[in-house]
Amino acid sequence: MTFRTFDAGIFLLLLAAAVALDAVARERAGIPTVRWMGRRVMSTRGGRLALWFGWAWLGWHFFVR
Amino acid sequence: MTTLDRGTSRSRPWAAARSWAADPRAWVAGVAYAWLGGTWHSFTGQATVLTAIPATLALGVFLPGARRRPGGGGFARWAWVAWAVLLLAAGSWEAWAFITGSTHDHPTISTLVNSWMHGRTRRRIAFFGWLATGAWAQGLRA
Repeated sequence: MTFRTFDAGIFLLLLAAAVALDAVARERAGIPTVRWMGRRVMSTRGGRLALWFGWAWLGWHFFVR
Repeated sequence: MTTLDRGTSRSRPWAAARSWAADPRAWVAGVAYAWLGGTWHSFTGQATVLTAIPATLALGVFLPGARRRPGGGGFARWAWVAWAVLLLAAGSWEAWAFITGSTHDHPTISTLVNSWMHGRTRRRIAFFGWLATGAWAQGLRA
């Protein structure tokens, strides 16, 4: 296993853990889902602006620069 | 889309945008735009314009609206800790890769994604993913 594979594997592992936690949250009360947290962020103007900025930055970062 | 929907979308643009996922025309338009947007490589004028157009239009959809918190809440403390640990671990791992120079052996997420995006097909898929993520995010508004 190369260092690159290991490093990428850590990111994938964390992503898989987040997906798993969200899946559990959908079935069980008491755990916030990604959707709930997103709705909470989008409930304020500052949150909407921050989320838009983050999304637009991703577009700029990967497709423009 | 009904007349009522059109009337609503004039005063509340996000109301129409929220129904994008259920509209096959939106999917066709999204795929067509992603096909176009993913055609050009970074550092070209075309890529800049084709990325700036949806980003600018989305600003008008994201921002308006009243302050309205979602229902529910009262979650377990351990659940918040679990999310925080995941976020902190990902952020720390990304920061470590960035500080060490984002080399081939220790890449950041950007380096991994950029190396995956070689070729127009993958670039178009990624562009569609970006558009879909934006459409999903704006649909989260209450």
